[in-house]
Amino acid sequence: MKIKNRDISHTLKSSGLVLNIGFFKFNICSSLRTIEETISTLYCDYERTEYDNIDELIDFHVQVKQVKHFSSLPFFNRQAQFFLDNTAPFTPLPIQHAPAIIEWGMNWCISSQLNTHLVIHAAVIEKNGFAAVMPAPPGSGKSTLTASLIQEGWRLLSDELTLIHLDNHRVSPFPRPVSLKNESINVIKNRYPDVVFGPVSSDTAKGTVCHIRPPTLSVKNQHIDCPVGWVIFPKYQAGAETEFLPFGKAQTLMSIAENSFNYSVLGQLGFDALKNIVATADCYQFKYSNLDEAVNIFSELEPPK
Amino acid sequence: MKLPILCQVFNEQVAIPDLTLNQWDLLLRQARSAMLLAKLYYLVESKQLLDDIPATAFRYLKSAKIHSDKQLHDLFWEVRHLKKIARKLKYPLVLLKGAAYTMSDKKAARGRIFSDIDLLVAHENIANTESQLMLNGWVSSKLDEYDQRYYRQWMHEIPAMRHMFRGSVIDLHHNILPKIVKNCPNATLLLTEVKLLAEHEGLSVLSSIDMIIHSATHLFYDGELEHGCRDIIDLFDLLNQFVDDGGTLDDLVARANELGLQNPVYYALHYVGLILQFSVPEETINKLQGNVPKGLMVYIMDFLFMRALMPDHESCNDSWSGLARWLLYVRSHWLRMPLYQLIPHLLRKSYKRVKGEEVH
Amino acid sequence: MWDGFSVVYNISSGNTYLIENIPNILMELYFKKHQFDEKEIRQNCISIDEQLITNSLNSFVKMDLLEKVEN
Repeated sequence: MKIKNRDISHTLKSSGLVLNIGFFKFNICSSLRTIEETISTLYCDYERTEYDNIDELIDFHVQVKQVKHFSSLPFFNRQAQFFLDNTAPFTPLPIQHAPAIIEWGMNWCISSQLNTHLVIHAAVIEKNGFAAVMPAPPGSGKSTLTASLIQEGWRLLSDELTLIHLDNHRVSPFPRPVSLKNESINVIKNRYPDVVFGPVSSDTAKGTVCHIRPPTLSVKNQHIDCPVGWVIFPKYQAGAETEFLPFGKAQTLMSIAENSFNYSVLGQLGFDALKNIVATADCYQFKYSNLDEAVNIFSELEPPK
Repeated sequence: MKLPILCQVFNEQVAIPDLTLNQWDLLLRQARSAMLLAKLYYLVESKQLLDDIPATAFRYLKSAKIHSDKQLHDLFWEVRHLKKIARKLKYPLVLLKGAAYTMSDKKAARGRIFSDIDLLVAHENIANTESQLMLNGWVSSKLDEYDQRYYRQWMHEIPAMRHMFRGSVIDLHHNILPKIVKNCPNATLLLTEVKLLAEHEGLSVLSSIDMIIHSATHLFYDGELEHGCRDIIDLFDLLNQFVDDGGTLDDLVARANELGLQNPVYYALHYVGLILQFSVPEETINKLQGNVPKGLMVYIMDFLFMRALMPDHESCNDSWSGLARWLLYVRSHWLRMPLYQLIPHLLRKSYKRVKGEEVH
Repeated sequence: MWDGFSVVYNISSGNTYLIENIPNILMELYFKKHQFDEKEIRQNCISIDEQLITNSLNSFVKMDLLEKVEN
């Protein structure tokens, strides 16, 4: 049974609200207002059902709860914590960071529990049937770039975790609200005024963080997988000339391996998957400071031969 | 007390094809908290049902199996290095627990989570083994004076050794229980029965009977019960294989009497019977001599163990579960040291835990 | 192997390595068969710098990619 917005709060507080993201089902329980806001604003295009009425198994039962921590004073620092079935992978954080907490928590569930896919710390977007995988450490501007490209005709497959199925080496979509930090929030707000923003969490470990609603079409097509066409390593550098150069396949393989959560666990399965991907995909290094030029470069990408 | 669905699946009270969606949900969650997802994979595989279970269930069982494969792989790699050392020693280097199950092809090895490698040598060979390990890259843990004394004076093992480059950890034992314990067995009796591994020159394992007794001792005497459910299922696998290979429970009981370890073997047979429906004839249990629990003691221990040996999940815990686990934790220390040492030791451990330091 | 770089996955140790500046022909000779004779390789690869062969063999043994078998 689909849930209307007014019932969200009630469902979150009782047996849980089930969110379908990609091929995953998350059952979410929370009595926090900011979580309710996040679900209403950013997840309105997703299929949402009540836990009591499921007809398929849940992947993860998660909670974001207010907790008492001996380090926090009562009345002042109310804290919230993410739980996977009553296991807490992170220490509690200020309660106003709850929207970021649930996103980080869901990422943690996938990156720590899943081995049917190679899980790469990378954004991935799709056009014309091919995926562009963009591995990038923090500070590379990957999120701003991703947030822009998905407004310019690219389908969002994921902004944080690229999932490569080990059987067929195709990307399994897992589209979620794209996280933006600090200055990039204003950049996107100015460039794309129609984009819907979720609640803002200020003073997190990463600075000011908030998330934008993913394009409706990306959510609608979240069951469509595709092969990898390009691996592109983006790096934002203020004032830099745009540089889009081929990157060695061997180095690409190593870099992706280093940016993967479970490459070493997968052993040969992981190695074989990456070997196939870099053999068929075109690999590039990309330096930029101008978003317009960046968008152009991507729009001119040809499918690999 | 009704058994959790995880136990009912392992003891076959509930057949896998009959599981409802709600039962699958609980099963996966319990298995995850008990770290039994990989073992569950192998159970489903042994019944040739991998293609018939819900896709989501398969996803996490397979993921756990892949993780377990990796650990197995790492274990083989470490054993390869250990063989180089073992070949040069003039005495048996005995693998214990998980490493032993794996290298001797025991069913209990499948789906296991491995961490440290446990080794056993005679007490007089500890120093030489320790230095051979150090020559090959393993470094003793940095411990303060109290902890060093704790180990070398009271415990049956020396401080853990970690490999400089590979990060693997070895726990080197000279017995299976601390020497201060009343029922500490004669390690020589164990060492005379060890079996050399034909395919892994230089390495040995305990006899099948002694492996069971060790597992029982570890669970009911020595260990903390964080993974009680996993450990009782290990015991179940070992016992089943022992019986399938022609062993008799009478032999097991006789050996328990010989080693003076009737107590943990009693509990092992009792709880494997209660939880996993492994049948043990009453007259066999009665052959255990010495101080086996009776009457009220059994009732009390059932109250505690039937909670602590369940998966640590909200669907299995009741309001007494936390207390039960804590009492058994204190008990395991009380069995290992006199009271005047126990209290300061526990206080010290709690303090270190709060500080976030490694505890022993 | 691409453009003078190789990526090697060691099945035994589970480690992955990026190797540069070793000619493809050497990599093939080292890893194609279960065992090889060092003298034979040196004879067959006269055009390759002797020191390179020595260094690469030493490094690969250290990395557990190759094991010296004493006869």
